[in-house]
Amino acid sequence: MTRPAQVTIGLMATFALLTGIGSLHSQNLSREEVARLQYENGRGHMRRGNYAEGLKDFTTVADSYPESTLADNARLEISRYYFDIADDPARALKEADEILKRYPTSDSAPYAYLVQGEVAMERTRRKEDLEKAVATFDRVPGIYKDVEAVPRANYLAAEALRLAQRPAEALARYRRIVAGYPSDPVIPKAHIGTGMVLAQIGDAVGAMEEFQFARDKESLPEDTDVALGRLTVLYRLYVRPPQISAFTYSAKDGAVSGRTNDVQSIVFTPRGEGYFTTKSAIMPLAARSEPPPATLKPRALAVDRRGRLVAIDAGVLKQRDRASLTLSVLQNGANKVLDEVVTAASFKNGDWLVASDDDRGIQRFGPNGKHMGVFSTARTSRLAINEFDEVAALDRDAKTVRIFDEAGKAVGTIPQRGTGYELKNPVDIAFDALGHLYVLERTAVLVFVPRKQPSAFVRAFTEPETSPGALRKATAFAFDSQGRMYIADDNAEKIRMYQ
Amino acid sequence: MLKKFACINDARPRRRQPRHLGLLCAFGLAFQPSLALAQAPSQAPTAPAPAVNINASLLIDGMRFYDAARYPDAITSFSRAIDLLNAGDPQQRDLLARAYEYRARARYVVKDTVGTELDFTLLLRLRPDYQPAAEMSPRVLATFVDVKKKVVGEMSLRLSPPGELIVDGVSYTVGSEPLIMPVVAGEHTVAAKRRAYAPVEQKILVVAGETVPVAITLERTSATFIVRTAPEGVEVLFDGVPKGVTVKGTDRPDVSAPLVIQDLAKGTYVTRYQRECYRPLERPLEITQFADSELLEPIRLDPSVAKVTLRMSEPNATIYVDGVSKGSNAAEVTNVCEGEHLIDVRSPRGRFIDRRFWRTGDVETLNVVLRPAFAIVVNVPPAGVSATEFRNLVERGLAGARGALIFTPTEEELNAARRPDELSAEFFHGTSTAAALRRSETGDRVAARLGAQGIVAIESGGRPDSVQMTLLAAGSSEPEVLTFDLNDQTSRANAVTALTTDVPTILRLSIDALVVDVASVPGAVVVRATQGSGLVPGDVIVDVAGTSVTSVAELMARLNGQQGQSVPVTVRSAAGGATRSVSLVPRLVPDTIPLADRHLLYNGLLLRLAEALRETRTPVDATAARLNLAIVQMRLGRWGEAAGNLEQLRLPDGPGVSAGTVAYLLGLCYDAVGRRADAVASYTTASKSADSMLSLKGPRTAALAQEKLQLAGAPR
Repeated sequence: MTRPAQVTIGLMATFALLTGIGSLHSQNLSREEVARLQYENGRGHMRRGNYAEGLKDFTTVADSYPESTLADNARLEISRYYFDIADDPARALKEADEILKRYPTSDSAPYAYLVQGEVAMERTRRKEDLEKAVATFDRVPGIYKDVEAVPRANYLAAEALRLAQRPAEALARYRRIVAGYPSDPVIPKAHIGTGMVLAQIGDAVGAMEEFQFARDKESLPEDTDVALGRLTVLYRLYVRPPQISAFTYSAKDGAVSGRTNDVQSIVFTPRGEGYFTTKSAIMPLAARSEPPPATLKPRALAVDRRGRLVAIDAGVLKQRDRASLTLSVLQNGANKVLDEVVTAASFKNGDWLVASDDDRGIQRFGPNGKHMGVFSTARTSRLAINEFDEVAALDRDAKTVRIFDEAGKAVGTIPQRGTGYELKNPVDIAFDALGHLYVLERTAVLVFVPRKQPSAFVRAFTEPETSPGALRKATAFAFDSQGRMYIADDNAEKIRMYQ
Repeated sequence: MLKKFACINDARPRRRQPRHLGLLCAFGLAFQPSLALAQAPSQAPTAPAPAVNINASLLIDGMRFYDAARYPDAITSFSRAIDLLNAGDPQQRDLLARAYEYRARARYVVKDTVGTELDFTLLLRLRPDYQPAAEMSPRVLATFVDVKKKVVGEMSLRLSPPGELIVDGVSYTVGSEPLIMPVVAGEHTVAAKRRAYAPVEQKILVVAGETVPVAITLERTSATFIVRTAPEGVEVLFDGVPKGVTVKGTDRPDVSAPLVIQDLAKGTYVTRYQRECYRPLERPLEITQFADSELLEPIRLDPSVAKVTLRMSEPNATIYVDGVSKGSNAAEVTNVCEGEHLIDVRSPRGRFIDRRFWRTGDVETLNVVLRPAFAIVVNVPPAGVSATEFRNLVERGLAGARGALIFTPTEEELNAARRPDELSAEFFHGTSTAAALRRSETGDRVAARLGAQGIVAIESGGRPDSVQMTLLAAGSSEPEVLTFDLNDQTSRANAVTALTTDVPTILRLSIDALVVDVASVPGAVVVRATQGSGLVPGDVIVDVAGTSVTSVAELMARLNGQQGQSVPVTVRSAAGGATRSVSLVPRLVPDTIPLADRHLLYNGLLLRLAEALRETRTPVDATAARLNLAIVQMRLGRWGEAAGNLEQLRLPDGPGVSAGTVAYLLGLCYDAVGRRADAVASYTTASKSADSMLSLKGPRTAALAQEKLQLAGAPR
């Protein structure tokens, strides 16, 4: 027998900030009221991006008014700041732990568990770690039953299962969320998650239906945009008739750069900023992009686990406003800085995989640049890592793509030849958001689903020879968040966009 | 009652007219029953003749004897009559006087002078004001007069102010002129008692043959006030003490009859004139002397009414004003008196309540929109707040909720409704099966008695100003709790929103194809289409009836309202980019309310969906209403009823909400009531329906059913 359902309406009164904190002294306010005003002040700062000031306010509430009803909320704000903004999961965890220790029955406690789980999940794709994250998320409905955090906890657990590559369980969880909390703000994300799983198990139509569900008029723009991107990818690959090219080039708005050649690498950040590098410089694709880091000998571009641009400058990983990482390996008893690094990619936990234009194979470095050993001896000219931390490594000479898991174990290969395709001159590889692997040839793009049996090949894209978008000497490519493809072609001396 | 009858003479042969014909007729008129017996033997027998009638006949006999000059016989008859007649009886008294007169006259003839004088004495003692018959002979008359001089005196009575005087217990009216009253010589009592005057009583000795002047002047001891009002029916108060109510007058249609207020002492009074629906009037009144005073002009009260117009959404709803039924005709309710009133409109579907203070001259149109009404039956206020104040705050705070009316029944209604059933906060919160069953039955009963669609408990929410309101629709076993803060506008607004939320959409438009948005592809891209629809995967719908559409949302907006109609759309082919025209026939398909959504008030939805089911017009409306009613019933623990509704549904199999959906929901119902085998069968059916969805936005019921089967350990 269920308890009477609780529909809790706005338990916390909202206060308008009528005066600043300084005028409090003139008012006869209780400690609770002061704490409340300070808390709201902090939230205002956070909304405006004044994080330092906001942090100050929340810290004051948490430390100076620990007895107030908002002390736990203040700690939660601090925790979320460190996790979402400052990229300091250790501090985020510390605050979350403090909430659970001191305020275990507060309304912030369930959210503290979410922080714990998200921290665990965000930096790993190892199954055992993801399972721990699931267990943490499951504490919320287990302990707190029917609180507002439950749908989000269930969603995050489903995401963890999906990332742990347990699709059936993930699907079941997403379905339960949709069935059980149909008006919760997390629902569009649950639909997206369902779509992702369906796409990964080969049900493209089912996936598209779910992505379209996520485009409800009440969804947030971040969700509707993501869903649109996914829909577009699937449309190109599975709905557009085979005789129609998956991508089209429009001469009117297809060129996105001036004369360029010898493009080594193109990359897009999750925020939509695009960059490319030649042997001499790193250039933004759009004027509005943030300036790239300064480099001497740029060889390639990558994005780190937080989606920030990283320039590979010989053996150094460089970022704007952050310390560079010098990549060196022990050779003959001495640390030798790698040179001629041609490709790099980052795991979720911040480790880097790096390959040089030599026979050293793929080296692994920690987030602080510490050499962790050889990831794989495979000769590699390009690296790409998908959301499961699976690694695709292009061996240009062998014209194959090897697939590894996060530990370096080979789990698959795309051979040079297979049903419906042949890799003649592969120059670059990239994953899209749905896990499709694209291989850039000089004159075409081939699409694979690496684990699909019996054949991983999906379809190929090429422009007709006479088309202004025809590929003749492609050198690098990348995808933006909408799934549009940018290809640098030395013959055209341009980077062109295909959609 | 006197009746007319034929005088005796008419029935007898003509002979010498007895001189006393008139007297006989008079006797006959007075004593009709006896004469009727003599007159008409054919008449129906009457009641036995009273004694006076017998005596009257003796008198008549005496008269005959007297007329026939048989004086001894006359004397004998008269004597017998005199013996029998009762002087104390007013009717017989006159007869007695007559008998004395005629016996005296008869005695005079037989030279019995003593007897004559004695008879006249007795006569005058009986009737001092007696006037003998006109035909009395002068000599007899002289004897009469002599006797009178010895027996009768007079009182000359004056009374100031004129009025009623009581002489020896008999009341006489004394006007402005003296009243000369013959009385038997001796002592007499003269008294005057009149309201507003001091009573007077005097003993007067009257000497025979003399006239004693008696002048009585009454002393006024209080004042009298006389007032008329317009209209009548006005209550008059003096210093707050009611003195009477004016009644309808006869001389002027709009003015009352005079109201006489007596026994007023001297002094200053505040007079108040009041009548319902009129503005009361107060005036000072000074009484300086004991006298009658009268207002020349009537006191006029001004009507104090407000004009109300009821705009009824339901013509058959019953209107109550202050608890009194006024029928269903809104035109009958046009005015309300100034003051606090409750206008209450009720129907089985809901209620409208307006409770306010009406001022004179207010003109208001009330749009009577009935809402499902929930009666407050349990009221547990916080400390320091009265129950009345608490419920007023809650009522006022939630007055804006369009989806439900929270109201307080009168004390009498509540006591009558609750009497056989014990209702407390625990009634609403018990979690056992027995408690749920009791809620379902008792709640239904109590709500019906109160003319409401549900019942409510309001309790303090533990924090200051916090309210915990538990709602239970009639027949529901699962109440829902709303908590809100009385002093927080946002919190109250959220509560109102929760009570106002419309029934979620239960019918949606379908074009039997899955269409999606694709970046850089203006239009709605077809991903899946039913055979025969004219669409194939990859097609892009680019316009509807000549108006371009760039997204799925625009497409559905253009098709909105066109269900059942053939709508031409332009489709760009996936293959070659050529366009063609296709006719789409959008149709309405059922969608489902979530089984558990914390933002929905299922107790309110129960009532509205039940009503929607009653009012459905098309089969798809009925299907959607019944399906969703079943879901709400499931949510509220009425599994049996839910199963009953689901079993009546016949949905085709296919994508969306379809047969598989119903099968899955039935499985849940059967599970809840312990029908394991039926549950497994239903889940099995649902698991085979690959495209069925729990709602049009998923999830697929096949997967949900398979989970259930796995839990049950049953094979898929």
